[in-house]
Formats: sequence, structure tokens, C-alpha cells
Amino acid sequence: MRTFRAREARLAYILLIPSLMIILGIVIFPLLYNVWLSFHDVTLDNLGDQAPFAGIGNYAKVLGDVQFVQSLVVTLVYSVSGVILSLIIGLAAALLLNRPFRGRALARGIFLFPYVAPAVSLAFIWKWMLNPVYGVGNWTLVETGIIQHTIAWLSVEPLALFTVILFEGWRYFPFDMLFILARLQAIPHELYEAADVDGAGARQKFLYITLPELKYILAALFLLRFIWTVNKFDDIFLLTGGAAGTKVLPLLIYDYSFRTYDFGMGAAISMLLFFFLLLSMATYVKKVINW
Amino acid sequence: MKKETVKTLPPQLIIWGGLGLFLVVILFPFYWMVISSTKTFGELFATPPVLFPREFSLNAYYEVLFTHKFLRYFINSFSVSFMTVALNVPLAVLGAYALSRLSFRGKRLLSQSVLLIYILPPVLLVIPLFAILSRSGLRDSLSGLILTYLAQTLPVSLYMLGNYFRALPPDIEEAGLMDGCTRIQVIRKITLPLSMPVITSVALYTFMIAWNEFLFAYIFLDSPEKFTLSKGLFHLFGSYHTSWDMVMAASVIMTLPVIAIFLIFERYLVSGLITGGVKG
Repeated sequence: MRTFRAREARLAYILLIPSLMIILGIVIFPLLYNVWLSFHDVTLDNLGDQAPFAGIGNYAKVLGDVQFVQSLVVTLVYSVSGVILSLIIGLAAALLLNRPFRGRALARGIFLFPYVAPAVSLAFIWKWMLNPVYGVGNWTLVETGIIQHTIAWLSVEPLALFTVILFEGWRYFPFDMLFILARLQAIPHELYEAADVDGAGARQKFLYITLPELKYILAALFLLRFIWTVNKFDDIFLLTGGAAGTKVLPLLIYDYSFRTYDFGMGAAISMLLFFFLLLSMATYVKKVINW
Repeated sequence: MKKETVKTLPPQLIIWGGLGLFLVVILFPFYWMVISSTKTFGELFATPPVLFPREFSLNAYYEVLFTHKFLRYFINSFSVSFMTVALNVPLAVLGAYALSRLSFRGKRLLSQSVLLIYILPPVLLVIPLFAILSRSGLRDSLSGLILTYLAQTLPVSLYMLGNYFRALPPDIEEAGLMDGCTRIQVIRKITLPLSMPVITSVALYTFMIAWNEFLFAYIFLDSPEKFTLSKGLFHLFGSYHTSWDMVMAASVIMTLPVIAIFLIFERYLVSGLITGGVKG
């Protein structure tokens, strides 16, 4: 029996080794190396050679940097509003798709388009539609009298931040929709039948049955999407390049690392971002969800 | 029941109206991308914008594919995504089998730490990887990119497949072992055939993640002959940002395969999304 278990364990290690080597080499080692970078003065010239030790110099510089604080605020505004917006749209979409009708599967498939299409294409479509001179979006809004002049949606502060939040809601609601829909379909029918007997209206049923049943999935989705949105680089980089008050932390990290080639600073900010995420996750799980 | 219908709009109207609104807001940008890519210069920049073009031109596609090397980028994107899938699936099947069926020390810790990748900022990894890949000469290469995508997708694949394997009834496998099959034979003859749906969705997701990826491709690749579509499209926009017909044609070229795969395999992809929570 013992030899059987030992053989099983050995086989397990053999089966796992290729995956583990890749994850160790391309995720864990780089993560540790990033910690090292954050304590050194690394530029493009001494990348790979011995870079001088900087102590906590990079961290001290970051924490004293006004840009960092501004960027942190922008990140929070963008992530919290973007996530809430995508949750609201996702909830509405899920409620619409919850009852059977002809073509429901197709509709659900189409609803997922913004989520599965590549970020680069989608960002450029939006830029083209929101173009201040030729954009079809601006033209429609002016013609319908919603706005008076065409607007440079992506290059005026604070409108640019609003626009990228809108993009976030449009692109990521399908993800929330799928999970909410799955949860909705698991709510027992008896609950609604009992409410009908008691003479409850549609709004009451939604408030007292549907929402409480969705509480946990909504809370979990908020956390997951918050983490991914805080980490998000592509969307804002492609839409505004971080201009007009949209420089979130991942873009600030990019600026330090690949515009000024101050890798030590970039690494330090990315470590702070990572700790901030771990911390907010722990607080959220403890205080808000009570897991 | 009666009060309700008097007070509010008929529910049918709200539902169909809502669906219509959603479909327009979702599909119009895609429609606009497609018709912009085939418009002639005059209609492209007309005021008011032309909603239903009368003229049709494939000139932008020709320019993009042949003058601006998008045929090359398409092949590169395809090779990178295909190789990522080809390496990811077998490695993940073996690893996930070990994580779900075999007992060994450190299993719990390993299963959980694999999920670290879900919260790790990609922009954090891009800095050390830039240095590491530069030193090893892999940075400006498709193999470096494949390795990176493999590391990004393996944890999710291990997680999805592991969950699926755990839900399979172990009796059949035990019967196989009793009959004298080795573990490897059991995986090949029993587990694999039972797992084709989830393997399909893992393969499709890995493909789509690699195909759509922007950040790593953008930072790592320098030589135009190695560009993937996302880097190529960004590059095109940087140099010809007023040629919206070309930018939109290139966007169509990049988007179409993903949407096609998605529509054909929707069933697998939707269930996969819910079980794996694919990052995005």
C-alpha cells in the first residue's frame, strides 16, 4: 500500500513538473525579481548588469510623488464606478434574458460580443465613433439635441474619465450578466408563486426575492471585477493614452518603466499596487461579505 | 394582479424595448466598423455620416493586408495562439489530473497558489519579464510571447480542468486500475474521452486570450515581421490614424475570427466562462 501511494505521489510530481516550471519561470521568479528591482536603481543601461542598491529610495520617492496620489484617486474612481456600472447593466441584461423567448440563445451570444472581441479593435471603433469632427456618435447626439456642439469625449478633463468608465460598463457587463443569469435561473419558482398568492407586485418580488437571492453573486462579482479593473491597462491606454485625467496606476507604471525607463520606480509602484489589492481584498472579504 | 397591469407599462413592451435597445447599443459599433472599412473616401468623411453606404470598396483591405503586412501579422497571431493552445492543453490535462486525482504533499497549497495569477497585475509582470526575456534573447520573438501566454493561461486551465475532473465519478477510473491499466492509460482511455467538452472550452479560451492579448505583445515585439495583429493594429493607428477605413479594415480582420469562433462554439464557451471565470 505504501509503495502504491509513493508511486502515485511520484507520478503526480512528474505530471505537474512541466506546468510548474513554466509558472515558476514566467510568474513566480519574475514576481520575486520585481521585488529586487523595486529596491534598485535600474535603467535601460544597467538592466542585466549590477544596478546600484537604492534601499527604500524608490518607495520613498513614489509616496512623496503627487502624481502617484492623483493616479491612485483616478484608479479608484475609474474602478469603482466602472464596476458598478457594468454590474447594473449586467443585472438589467440578465433580467431581460431570464424568461424564455424565441432567439434567446442568439441574443445571449450577441450580448457577449463586447466581452470577447479584442480590446484594440473595440477601442479604435469607439475612438472613430467619438471623433470630434467625423464621429457618428457626436453627430447623433447633436442632431437629437442632447448636446449642442460636438465634444472631444476622450481628450477633455473630466469627460475623458467618464467616457472610459462608460466603455468599461459597455465592454464588461456581459461577464456579470452570465453569472447573474446563472444565479437567477437557480432561484426556486415556489418563492415567486408564494409571493403571487400573497398578492405581491413585480417590484416587491424583485426587491424581496430576487435581490436578496443575488446578494452573494453580486458581492463576489464586485470583488473580482474590481481587482481586474484596477489591474487593467489596455482599455485606457488605447482610448486616451492616459491623457486628460485618466492616468490610472497601471499607466503610471508603464510611463515610469517604458517611457522614462526607470524600471526601479515602475517596479516599486507595481509592488504598491499589488499590496493595495491584497489589502483591499482582505478587508472586503472580512468586512463586506463576512466570509 | 389587475392593479399591476394598470399602473405600469405592459411587461412585454418593456422586455422587447429593452432587448432592442441592448442590441442596438451592442451591435451598432460592430456595424459601424464593418461599413467604415468598405466605404469610399467620400462617404467615410461625409457630414452627415452615411448610415447605409451606396458605394463599396475593398481597397482598405487590400492596402492593409498587402502594403501594411497584415497578412504576416495574421499568420503570426495564428501561430502564437495555436502554439499556446497546443502546449497548454496537454500540460494542463496532466497537471490538473494530478491536482484532482492523485494525493501528494503540498497539493492544497499548490492548488490555491495557482490562483495567484488571477489577482497579479499584468503590468507588474511585464517589467521583470522585459528584463529577463531581453537577457535571454527571447524578448523580440514569438517563442517568448508563447511562453508568456502559456504562463498566463495555464493556471486558469489547471483550475477549470481540475474542477471538472473532480466532478467525474471516480468508480470508472478505479475499475480501469483494477483491470491492470496504468494511470497514464486511465487518463488516455477513460478521463480524456469523458472530458472533451471542457477540453474544447479550455482550448478555445486559450486561443482567444492569446489572439486578443495586447500588453505583452506591445511591449516585447520590436521587429515588424514579428508583430501580432494587436501590435500591428496599434502600430497602424500610430502611423495612419486618419485613414479610418484602413484602421477599421484591420480591426475587422482581427475581430472576425474571434466572433466566428465564439458563435460556432457558443455552448462550450458560455459554460467555460462560468466555471473558469476567464480573466478580462
